[in-house]
Amino acid sequence: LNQSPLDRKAPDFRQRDINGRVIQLSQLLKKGPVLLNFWATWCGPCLKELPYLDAIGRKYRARGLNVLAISEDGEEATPRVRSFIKGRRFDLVVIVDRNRELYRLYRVAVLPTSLLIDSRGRIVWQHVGYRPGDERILERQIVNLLEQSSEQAP
Amino acid sequence: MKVSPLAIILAGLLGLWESVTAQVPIELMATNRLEYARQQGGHTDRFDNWLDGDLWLGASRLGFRLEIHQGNPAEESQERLSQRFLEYRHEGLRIRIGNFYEKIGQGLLFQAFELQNLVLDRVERSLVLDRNADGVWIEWMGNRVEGRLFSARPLGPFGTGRADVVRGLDANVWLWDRLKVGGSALRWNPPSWKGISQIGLWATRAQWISGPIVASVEYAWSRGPHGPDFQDGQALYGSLTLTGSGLGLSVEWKDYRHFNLPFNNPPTLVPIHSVTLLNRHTHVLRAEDEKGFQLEGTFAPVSNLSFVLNLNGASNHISWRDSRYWETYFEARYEVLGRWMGRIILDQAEDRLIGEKSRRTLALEFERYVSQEVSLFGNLQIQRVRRLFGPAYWNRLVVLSFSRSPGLSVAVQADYSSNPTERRRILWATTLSLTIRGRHQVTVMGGGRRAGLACSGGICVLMPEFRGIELRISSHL
Repeated sequence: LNQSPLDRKAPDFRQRDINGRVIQLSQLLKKGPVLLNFWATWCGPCLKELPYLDAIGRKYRARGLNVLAISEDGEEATPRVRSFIKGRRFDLVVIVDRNRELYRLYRVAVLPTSLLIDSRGRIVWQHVGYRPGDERILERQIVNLLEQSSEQAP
Repeated sequence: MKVSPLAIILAGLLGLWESVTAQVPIELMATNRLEYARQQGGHTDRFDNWLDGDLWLGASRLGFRLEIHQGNPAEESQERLSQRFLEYRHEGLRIRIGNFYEKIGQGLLFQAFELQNLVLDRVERSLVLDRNADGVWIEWMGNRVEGRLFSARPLGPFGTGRADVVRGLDANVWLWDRLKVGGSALRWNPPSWKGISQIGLWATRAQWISGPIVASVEYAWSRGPHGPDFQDGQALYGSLTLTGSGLGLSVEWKDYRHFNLPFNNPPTLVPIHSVTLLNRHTHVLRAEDEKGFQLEGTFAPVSNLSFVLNLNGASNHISWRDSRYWETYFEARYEVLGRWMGRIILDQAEDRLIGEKSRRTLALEFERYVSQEVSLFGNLQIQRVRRLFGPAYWNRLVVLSFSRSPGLSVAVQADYSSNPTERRRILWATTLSLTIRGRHQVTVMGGGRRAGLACSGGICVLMPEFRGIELRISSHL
């Protein structure tokens, strides 16, 4: 059941977040690693995982980590997603996936799915589903990646 | 039931491909979904497999889907390359030739969509699960201007044939970073739908974003040959969102008149719940004549305590009768991260269209971290349904589950219903779920599952009752 190291292409994309800003993956990667999380408001395990992603995002933002929460609720649910995120005090960059484009681009099969992308644009870790305790494994992976990044920096 | 030789060959080729391409800048990204179910009673079994792959060569992508469907008894096996496309991507430009999905605006005019992770029987699957389009699709997404242009043949309503032709243009412009204005135009030649030769569809929209306030409105209309089968239609959708620290409020409304389209329905504005019993009888939209609204407020006085209140309603007319739908949903949630979580939900609904006078639901959830990796979860749902005609009845659902991070969970579920139309009062189910190497999700379910609506991404489909054993494996290759 252990996690295995990955080294796969993270396809670049450009979409708007719920505040109308254009988000391009390749631009975010210039600042540091990116964690993509695919979720939905009707997905029970996703809602359990989100508070941890929010905490992780806040904790490691200064070290260059960006967390992108990609909602699969559909464009018609954008007002509810916006209300949910702000109402729950989450400080996450949220994209409501236009017509599930990113879901298909990353060949996601189940919700939630998390993908950790290093600064070179490679998927180095992924995890499908969420069980309480998974957040510790995710945080460990992020710390390892950030440490590797700082060692490689000139 | 025999295992398809094509599947074996393909699995072998994928393994070989991974070894070869490790040395060259060509990459394959693939997902495989396998479902096997053996149903009790008729002793029927079925096997379905979808392999989705992308071959990346720099900025270009060659995509495909291979589907294999086998069943017993008396069903014809199918192995087919159901999708293939070539796509070029550079910055904000995307050009695709082949199969694609698209949604215009809020989905009023056109939605070529797919529902994954829902298991239906063979007849119903082809009705709703995959409505892709096949043709040419071009998108530009710049900082201020974005647009789409396409010409395609969407998959027919029964999953076979592509008789219709649809051509569309959608463009949006951002002004002063806050105001978006846009419009869409589609021409539809739907010979497969009521014998109508051509329908014109148009939409115009605007969105204003100013810090905590977001407002949007979209108006769409349809024009076609007047007659007993078609009337000009119109649809209005609007929303307003207000947010502050720990407070979110969204209001949406809809007004649809004669807005029956050949391919899809406009948005329902009915929330999809994470509570099983609430989704089982959700409201079904009637686009011929329906008005409605949705209001949702989320309030978190502190970060680990939150409240949600959702009100949604709709009204329509069927022949001489007014038909009304109404739902009030309240949720309170408290959690101490890493220790425990509790959630209580109260819901009351009325849906005259489906003959429900009232439906009251109470749901309780509790999760306890036993250690850093082990947790226990309990879920109790009780529902009382009173019908316009016929006796009232109870639904009850109990779920107990054990999970060990990162790879194992086991759940036991008991589903009771006193509804006289149900064949069985109690259905038991046990589900084992494994996550292997973070990339493979294996789920085995043994027992029974009641018929009802299953919803995903704003679209609901009716699932048949199932009793037996079901295996699902999702893999990232």
